[in-house]
Amino acid sequence: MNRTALKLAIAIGLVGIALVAIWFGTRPLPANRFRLGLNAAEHENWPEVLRQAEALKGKAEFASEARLLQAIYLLKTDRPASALKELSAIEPVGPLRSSALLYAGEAFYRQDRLFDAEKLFATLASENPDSLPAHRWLAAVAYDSGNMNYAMEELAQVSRLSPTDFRPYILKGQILADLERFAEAASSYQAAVSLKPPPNVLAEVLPALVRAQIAVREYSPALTTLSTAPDDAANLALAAECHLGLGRPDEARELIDRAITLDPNQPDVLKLHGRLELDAGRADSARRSLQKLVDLDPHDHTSRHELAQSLRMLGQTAAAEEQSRLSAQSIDLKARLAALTLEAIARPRDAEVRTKMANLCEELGRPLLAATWRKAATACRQLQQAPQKQ
Amino acid sequence: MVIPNLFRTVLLCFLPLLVWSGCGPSSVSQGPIKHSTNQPSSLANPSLPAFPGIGPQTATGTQQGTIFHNRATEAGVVFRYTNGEDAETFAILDSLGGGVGYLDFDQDGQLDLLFPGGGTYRQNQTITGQPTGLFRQIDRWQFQDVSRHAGTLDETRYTHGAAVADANNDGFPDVLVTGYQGLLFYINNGDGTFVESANTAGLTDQLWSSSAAWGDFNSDSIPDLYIAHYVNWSPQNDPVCRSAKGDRRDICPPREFEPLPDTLYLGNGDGTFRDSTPAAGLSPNGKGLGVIAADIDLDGLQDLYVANDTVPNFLYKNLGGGHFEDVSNSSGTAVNDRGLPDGSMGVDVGDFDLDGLPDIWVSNFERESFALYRNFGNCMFRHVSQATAITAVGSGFVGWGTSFFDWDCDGDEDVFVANGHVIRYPASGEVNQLPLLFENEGSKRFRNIAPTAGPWMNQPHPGRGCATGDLDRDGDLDLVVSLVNEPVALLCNELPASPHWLKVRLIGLETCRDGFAARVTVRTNETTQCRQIKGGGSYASTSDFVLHFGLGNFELIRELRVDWPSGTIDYLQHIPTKQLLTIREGDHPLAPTNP
Repeated sequence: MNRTALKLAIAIGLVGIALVAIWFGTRPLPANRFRLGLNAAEHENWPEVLRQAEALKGKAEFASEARLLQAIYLLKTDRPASALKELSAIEPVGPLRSSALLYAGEAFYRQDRLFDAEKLFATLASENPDSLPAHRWLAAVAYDSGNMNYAMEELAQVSRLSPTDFRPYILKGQILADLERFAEAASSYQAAVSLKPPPNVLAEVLPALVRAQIAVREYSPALTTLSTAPDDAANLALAAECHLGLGRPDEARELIDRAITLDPNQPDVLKLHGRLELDAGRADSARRSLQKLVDLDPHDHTSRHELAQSLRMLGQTAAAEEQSRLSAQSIDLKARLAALTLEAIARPRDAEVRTKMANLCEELGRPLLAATWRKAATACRQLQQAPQKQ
Repeated sequence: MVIPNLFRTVLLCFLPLLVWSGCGPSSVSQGPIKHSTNQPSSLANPSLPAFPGIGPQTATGTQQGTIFHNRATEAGVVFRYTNGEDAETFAILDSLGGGVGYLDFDQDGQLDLLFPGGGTYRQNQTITGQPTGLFRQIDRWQFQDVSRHAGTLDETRYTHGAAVADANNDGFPDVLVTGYQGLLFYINNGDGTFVESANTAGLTDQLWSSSAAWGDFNSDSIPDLYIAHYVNWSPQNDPVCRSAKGDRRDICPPREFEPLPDTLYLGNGDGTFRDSTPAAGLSPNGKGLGVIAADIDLDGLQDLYVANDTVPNFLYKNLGGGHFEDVSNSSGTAVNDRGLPDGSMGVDVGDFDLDGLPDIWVSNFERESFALYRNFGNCMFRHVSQATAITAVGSGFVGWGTSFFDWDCDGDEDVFVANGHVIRYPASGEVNQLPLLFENEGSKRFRNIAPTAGPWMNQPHPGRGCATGDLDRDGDLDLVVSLVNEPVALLCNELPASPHWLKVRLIGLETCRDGFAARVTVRTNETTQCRQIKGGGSYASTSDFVLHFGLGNFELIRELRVDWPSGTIDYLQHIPTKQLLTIREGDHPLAPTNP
């Protein structure tokens, strides 16, 4: 063998060794496969999650990882019961415990077993008080079950762990506004705004903040808030309400006239238009706007009350009385709902209260809210019927 | 509870493992809202009253820098309403506080003051009263406590309100004191003493009364009486309630109790009264705290407005003969602008927009708005608190005593409100609250100027009843405020400049002597103002019956007209200002050639 051939053989050998080394270094080890699976889950690539789960099957030392990935895949493809089966087979101790608890909690949540979910998230939070997803889920579960005080406590934890996240503040603001704690709601929305949410979220948060500010008669701050909001019909109407509240009906009138040209059927526009027309004694014009409003929302008791007033001014006494009666009926339903909301907070496991709330929401034409309360009632009932599970 | 799209969006975004960027609507900012410039007002003219020339107008300029200085101590008026909260019984009885009565009981031309003293409800379920204080004015800002001599020291009743009127038309004002365990009726003997005569007068009402309004409801020239009752609390009906935070006992809200029906007494003319409630047409379900008798529809008959706590307010149109029609709902004055009843406490009637029609003002509970009901005529009202910037002061006030009064003599009626919380441990943490002094700006809107109206106005107090009158006879209106467990305040109006004014005292002859429902219209070359003699008003208090007109720079009154409920009209021309004018019914009959 000459020297050249020898060199060639050595080179080929080295290349071979390098290729083997490269292969060895990059081969899909089970640990890598698990990481790839989790990464795919983060990107909602569910087929890839399944592929990695399948690849891990048969490797005894990675059986739990395979089950976890399989469970994630099942959970995210709407098979929470099957996901739970996989998760229940995972070793209850070890590095996967937190993830298993989290996904098991989610699986329970997706089956409307709110309190089973809550139990797992609470366990996770007690073992790891700084678990951001545990607190997020606990907030969501508490909200869905009507336990608003607990929801707000958990939202505070989320804000502690993720101080730049605007979302918990928005949710807290909404809860507080629902409870008519408008000053606190405004503060919460304000905190969300200060965290600079993206424009599409901001466009929704700002009107919510303005409504809370108007509710507590903070008209000047509300106008400041609106100065950064889109110049659409609803926001013009809100600005008009602020001017009216500051005793500037002429400015309010000009804004509402502009708003009408943008969207004559926007509820806020109709409401302010009706109010201004009534203030000016133009009862018939007011009646038209107010009638449209109650057609849009038959339980808008304020508009119905004002509609009754416009009808009285027009001398239509019987029609006015009927509108007053309907307004009082809606007020009564809402008062009952408000009382039940407080009861639900005080009794977070009471199915009957939640069922009553669902029924009332249906009467008030709020089917989505009714469905939420029914879900909560079902969860409460499951809790009462089923033996406590560990 | 409504969950809008925003919440749904956020909730979905909020769930772990969902990316928020994929959620939410896609509305994009279009730039800031551009606010408008001024436009002329488009308020429609309501119907006008009979007197020619009355219509919307602009009042004269506002005096700047006026302060109200508390001169109670130096004036020798040292009196404290006691609610007995030290007994720690947490009864709702503790929450009402007391009022103020202006009266010139000795007819010496100087206003005197009367204060119900309150009482105590003890752990052993006994209730005792505190004496009513009577302070005689002996010189400007010098008063003397004459309670003992006058005989107002009764301690058998837990008292609240002072309703003053010349009940027997003898020229000397008498006093009805409201409260728990029945009424006290002090008949003025005319010699500096009073005799308590509730039982002999037939005022045997035993229900818990808060405020009362004198008037002549059946037009017989004999004073009548409307008694507002509160709720059916008693030592036997005294539930335990918790504070807002739930950590301790606190006073129960009125919702825990049933309402009590109000009572209408008609005068018999012999110093006695008869209970005319069944025939009066009153509603039974009020929780009355404030009441005012005034001619609201300008038909010459005194109507009634009752401020009820947490249930709809009452407006009773007087049909004559002691009969009323409940027009609360149809008038738009029963509830607020959202169609909901407020927790109403104080009330007054005045013409804030100078259109000649009496408007109604009501002080309310926190998280509500004080209500200004603008009179559109024909017993139709519109809640205009938002449009007049009343709501802009915020919603943290628990309003009690309140009064329309032109404190700066600029020709339009301003408003004072005494505020203070009713419970021991409010969520806000503060029982004492700032008072409000609303300056009427051009008869269109109000602005709270209390922060610049002196130290007393700029501090929180446990406010309750209040009344107005020119205590020092300098031509501007002073204020007296009753506080809970704190010394009363005598607020001297120290108007720096010297605007013109006129005060009018009416003496009825065919009409009852106090002139209830008589209306006075004063015209200068540019302005027209209307006032009337009202019964009750504020909370549990009585203001001076002398009518006060601020005239700004106008030195001469062109015309003055008095419309008496008897139908008599007195008419005067070219009247100098800065005087107290006393007009007896029929002394200045309207000449046939006059308008």
